[in-house]
Amino acid sequence: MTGLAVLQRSFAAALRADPAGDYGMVEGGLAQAIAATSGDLTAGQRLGIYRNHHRLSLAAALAAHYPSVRAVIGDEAFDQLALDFVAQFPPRDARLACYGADFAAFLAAETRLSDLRYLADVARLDWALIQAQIADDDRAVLAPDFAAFGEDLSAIRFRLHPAATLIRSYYPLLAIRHLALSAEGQAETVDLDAGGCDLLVLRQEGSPAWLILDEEARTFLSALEMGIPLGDAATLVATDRLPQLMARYLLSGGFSLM
Amino acid sequence: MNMPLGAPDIRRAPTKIDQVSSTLPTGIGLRAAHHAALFQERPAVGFLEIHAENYMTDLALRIALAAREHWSISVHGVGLSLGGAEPLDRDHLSRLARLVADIEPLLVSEHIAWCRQDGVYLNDLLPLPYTEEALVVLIDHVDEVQEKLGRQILMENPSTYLAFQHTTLSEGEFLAELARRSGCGLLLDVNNLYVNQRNHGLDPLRTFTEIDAVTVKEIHLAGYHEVVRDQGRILIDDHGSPVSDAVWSLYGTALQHFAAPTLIEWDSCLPALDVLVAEARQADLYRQDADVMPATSGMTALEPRR
Repeated sequence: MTGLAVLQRSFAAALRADPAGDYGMVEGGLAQAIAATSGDLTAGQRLGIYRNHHRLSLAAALAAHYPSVRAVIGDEAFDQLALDFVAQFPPRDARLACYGADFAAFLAAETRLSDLRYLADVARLDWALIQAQIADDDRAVLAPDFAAFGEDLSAIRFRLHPAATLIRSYYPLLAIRHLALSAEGQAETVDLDAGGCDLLVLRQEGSPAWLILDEEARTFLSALEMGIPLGDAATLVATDRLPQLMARYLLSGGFSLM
Repeated sequence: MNMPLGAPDIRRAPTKIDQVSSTLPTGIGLRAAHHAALFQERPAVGFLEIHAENYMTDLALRIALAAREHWSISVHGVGLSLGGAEPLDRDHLSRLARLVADIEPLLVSEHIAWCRQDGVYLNDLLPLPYTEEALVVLIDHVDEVQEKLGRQILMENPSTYLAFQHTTLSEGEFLAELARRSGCGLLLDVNNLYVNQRNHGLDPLRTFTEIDAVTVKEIHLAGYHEVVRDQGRILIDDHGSPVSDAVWSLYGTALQHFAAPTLIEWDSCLPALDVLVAEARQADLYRQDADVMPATSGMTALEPRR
């Protein structure tokens, strides 16, 4: 490895090291490589500037992507979890807007949050709403397209539009989100046993939106999401319900042709 | 319109960037918080600069293309890690190439820095030692980008909070060699020069004389803030405040050496749009004093580009 590669590996390791460590404890070779100016900041303090920026800027990106998670648990707890996530799952894409896709899974596995089992679902909804905003464009199937498909629709297969997400939660997710994001001081509570919810989060007319799904709609859309042909998916729901499910959900802008 | 660029004729190739007038009025950064006000108020700034990585989604690209109807666009990348010893992220370079093809910007720039190690993005512009080894890495990567984009890019001098013992070249020598050997242009950030002067005692006037004036194709101005730690103090280049008096003064000196479009950068603690526009007007006044642009151009709305 070249001198520059060694230096950068060592520098990156110092940036990502445990922040609880002493700023003065910089690895020997790296500390020696940093020019010292007497009466000035130490090598450790100088590296600390970069380390702080690395951690705090990425934690801030997560905060922007997960506003309702932050509102549920508070700024201090969120920031600590975000910094832990940054340490364990740093970005592998230069686009900051893409950072944090795994945060919900991270929260689900976090033992400190065992009393807040719904939090990962809150995160999934936050992320789905971000995707509804920024995911790439793709041609969604809409009603006029459908009319052009002709007689036999049974073999057509669909996939979720890149901006759409199906979310299933065993908690009253929308009520939790509403409470978290509503103005402070409102004496409102959420009954966590009030039942779950199923959502199709999608982009409609350029803006993030969600549709609340009942059990039959969820079954139908989940089957389509898995690539099951329309004819087979239709057998899972009541025949007289099918036109409404197709018009309201399948042709909502949330699905594309496979 | 784009010329294939290849050594050694690269410096003589008539690239799009050579057509950029040095008298173009001062530009400002295009930031999401200003999108609405910008389209509503249509300020008469010379151009808008976008951070490449923030406009690599379809939605953001649509906004940039809408802005392009009214202003010239400059694409300023922060994520290519051109100073990194490891190979470039080809997927990211391809995304940049698509963005540049879609927007056809006036200028494309990146940084003399690295930001990626073992595939992990560190989300910062990290310092390089000014050595022949680092220079060769940068030149190879700049070559690769210029080949991929089919045009010249500008490379920006960084602000740094530490320097390396084994540095052998001055900042100006490093910049000059990079431009000479890669055929890139230079984006001279006057605030960064000032920050490095205060942080490391580097002499910006020496840098002015060491670089070839014709290679400077853009100038950046921004604000910094000062942090005091125990026994020392350091300037942080946070782009979160007005350009300081000291940097305006250094800019005035820079204009005696260079004639290039100028950009006001403001990324954190964003003020109202008119504050940025006023900073751009201030830069135009400096440039008129230095006789590098017509006395009225800063006040005139540009014609729509198409």
